Amino acid sequence: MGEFLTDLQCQPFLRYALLTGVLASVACGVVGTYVVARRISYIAGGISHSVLAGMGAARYLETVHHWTWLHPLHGAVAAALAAALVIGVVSMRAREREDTVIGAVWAVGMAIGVLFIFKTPGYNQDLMGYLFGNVLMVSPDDLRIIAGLDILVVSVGLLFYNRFLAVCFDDEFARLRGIHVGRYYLALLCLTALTVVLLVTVVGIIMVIALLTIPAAVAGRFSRNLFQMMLLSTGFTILFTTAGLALSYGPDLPAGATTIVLAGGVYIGVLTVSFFVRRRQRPGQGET
Amino acid sequence: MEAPVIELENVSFSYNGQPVLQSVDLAVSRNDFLCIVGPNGGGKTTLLKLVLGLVRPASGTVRVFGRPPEKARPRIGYMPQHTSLDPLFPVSVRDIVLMGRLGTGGGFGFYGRKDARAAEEVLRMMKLTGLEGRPFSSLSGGQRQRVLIARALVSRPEILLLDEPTASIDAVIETELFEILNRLNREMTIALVTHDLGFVSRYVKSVVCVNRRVVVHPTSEISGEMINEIYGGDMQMVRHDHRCSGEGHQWVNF
Repeated sequence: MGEFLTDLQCQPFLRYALLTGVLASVACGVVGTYVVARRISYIAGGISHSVLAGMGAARYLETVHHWTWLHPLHGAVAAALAAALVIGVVSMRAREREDTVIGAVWAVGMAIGVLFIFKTPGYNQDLMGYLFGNVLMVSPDDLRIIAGLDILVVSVGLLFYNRFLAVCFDDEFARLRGIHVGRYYLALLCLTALTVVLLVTVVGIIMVIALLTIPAAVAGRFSRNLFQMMLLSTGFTILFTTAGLALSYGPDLPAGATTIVLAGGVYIGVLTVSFFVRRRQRPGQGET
Repeated sequence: MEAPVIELENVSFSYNGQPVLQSVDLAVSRNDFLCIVGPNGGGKTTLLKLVLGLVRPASGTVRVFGRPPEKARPRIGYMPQHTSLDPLFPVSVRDIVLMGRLGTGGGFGFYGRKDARAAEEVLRMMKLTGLEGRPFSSLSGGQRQRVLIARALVSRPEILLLDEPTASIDAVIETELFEILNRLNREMTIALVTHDLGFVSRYVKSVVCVNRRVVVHPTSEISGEMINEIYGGDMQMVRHDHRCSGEGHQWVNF
């Protein structure tokens, strides 16, 4: 921990990592709350895994065809948005088969990514970074993309708060009040896709879903409405990513995995405490 | 004579090949107070959804204020069954009521002072003052229903459609609810769905019986035969107009 604080003064990469975590946390707090409240975390999971296709393809084009302007994050954005639109359109047009489509997008996305990475010459250490996150490798270039995406996601997510809330809570009623429910639902999935990309840089493809859901779930225990949940959830995500980075730095542990274990631990702790608190408030229940 | 506010002409609707409603003709005049009754799965909710334009008839026409139902939506208030909503959704009473004001303003959908005042007024009318900040999940079934009615009323509709407003609330609250509806009925047409035929409030002006087909009766005509016709089989009517005495209950078999 002490090492982390001293190195933070002199190592720019550590400051970039910290800033990446904080920026991604704000988008995560806002969009993760919608995802948890609307119960679409399985969709978020499908989107996050399909991101590998975009990152692999971008890396391949960059190395083999020398598209040097192309960045893996560009590929990630394209793949995430494509996955979100496919899942969204299918779920609106053919509701009963939604989960099958999500599963297919999930696995096919990963498969495409693996193929591209396999055909990209050189060491495949990229793959590990994409899957499990490598926040210490974030460059100033990455940080610019991350900041841009963050501003976009947070401003859209908050400006249309009232409409997103209505569509998530009761889409039928929202339609009756003249809201284009389909458009807002697709927009919400696109925001989810962009947030997933932001979080991939912090914790990697596989663990994104935990950071998108756990802080919001913890926040939900202490919130009376969706906006409070967003604020609290943002706070928890900043806490988890920062603490994950700080705790993993000294012993040289992977930061992403440390962050997730920390978040999971807090979640289980909160669930356990609230279980016992509720039992004490309503004595007799659970014993009968 | 004034044109009916809701008009269904020879409307049929089927779901997955199963006929739900067949050749329905219905005309509702302004300031009517309809009670839509019938067994579960008989097509009561479908009838409401046809009027709202949420489902389209397989044949026939639905007109509201002489126009297609989609165009009439701003003038209709709707309360769905509260069981169709996620009970764990983190949303406050005030937020839900304000949803009824969406579509009145422009831009991003921010609420203004007018919206806040309208919400306050309907909350008072539904006796929910003091609960504005409470999460929906912490409310009782009856309170949830009143919140959803408040949301339907906040846009000052000319037609109020209520799906099972009396489910899961006790008799005292139900009586109160009908007092409120009776007052509202002076300004708006009201149609409510109930599966409970044992009780139709004295404020109800006509009863619409729905079981694939639709039959309209004025309230005074309601009889045991009608119940038999709708539910099938022998039923006993519950009497609400007597007190329990020491000798026990007297049942009247129609």
